[in-house]
Amino acid sequence: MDAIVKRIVLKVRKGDHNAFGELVELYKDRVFALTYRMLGNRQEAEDVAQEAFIRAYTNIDRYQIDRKFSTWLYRIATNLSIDRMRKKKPDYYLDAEVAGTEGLTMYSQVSTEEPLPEEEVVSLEAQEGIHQAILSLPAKYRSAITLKYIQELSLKEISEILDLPVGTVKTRIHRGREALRKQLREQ
Amino acid sequence: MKCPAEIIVLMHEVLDEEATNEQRRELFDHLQTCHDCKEHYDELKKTESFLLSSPSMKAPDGFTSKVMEQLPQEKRTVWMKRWMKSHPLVTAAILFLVLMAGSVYSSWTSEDQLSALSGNLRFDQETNTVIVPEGEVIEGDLTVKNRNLEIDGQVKGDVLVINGEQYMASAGQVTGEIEEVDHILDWTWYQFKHLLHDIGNLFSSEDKK
Repeated sequence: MDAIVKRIVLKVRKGDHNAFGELVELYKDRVFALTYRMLGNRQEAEDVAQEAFIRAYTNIDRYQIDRKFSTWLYRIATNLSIDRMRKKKPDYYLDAEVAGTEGLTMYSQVSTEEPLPEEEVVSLEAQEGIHQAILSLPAKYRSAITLKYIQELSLKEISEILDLPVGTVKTRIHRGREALRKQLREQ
Repeated sequence: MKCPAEIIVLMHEVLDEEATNEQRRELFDHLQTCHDCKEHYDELKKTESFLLSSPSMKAPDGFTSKVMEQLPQEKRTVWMKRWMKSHPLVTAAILFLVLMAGSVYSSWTSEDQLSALSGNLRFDQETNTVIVPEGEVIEGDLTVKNRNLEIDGQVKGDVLVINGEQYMASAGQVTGEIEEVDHILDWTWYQFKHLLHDIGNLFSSEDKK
């Protein structure tokens, strides 16, 4: 995987436009999952994920080829998501509600198509619950939790992405986990 | 009973798989004796399993093409290379035409020239005219390029005037054909015609052998 990615990156560096499309295909789902968990709104998540790829393309010469491409890409996506969160802070609660409604629409679409067994409906609700719980976390915990659980990255990788010492990453994950535990308990 | 804060830290260490075997044992020993801590740990485990069971997200349809549309223009050379690779025949044809056009054009614009196998010619600088004087006989073909030609004498062969005009005096005489080429298109056609003619000769001479 890493060798393939490196070969594609080298092609992109030579100016091959289409090779970049292969990179987007490889990482689009994971980058979108990341921005969606960070922002909680599909439209915004798509915008930011696209912007992340465009930034990666224009800065491809700055990527150090001996490091993991995904780490570098997630770093761009995470920073862009955090920037976006800061910008929309005043109407954050309004947005959270919109995201909630969106989750409900998705849920109702699924249930009209075919009736699901009881426990799967419950787990969908739980999904929505955890999504909302993540969105209620402050940005610094949210990014650490998202990278750990949605992307299933190691503490070391997360520390590289967030540019923080591993110890700090650990603390953020611990606090984030505690906050989520309390939230889920209340639900 | 109030448990020490280290126990909570230990729980997270275990969840992060950063704890040593000793620490794990310490935690699980404690959990067996402390109901509150057991509940706390179970809730954390449940939170974690919720987080891990999040459905895998799919990027919206058309995501890649939307990104590609927004990318700044790629370097031209790469685009050309790829185009050539996918259209080898067209590339070869264009290459041929370019080279052909180049050679025709360069022979069109190459310096003024005059060719005749024999005989005396006069050149009038002012009117840029080559004159075959009266009473003069040119044996063979006469080619004049980028100049006018005035024939007062006699040419025993073909006359070709490229990018110039030819005047024939009443006394002048040409035994062969007179041809005037005035435009690059005519020139191309002339070259082409001769090429075909030469190829024809090549074959017919081979036949003779």
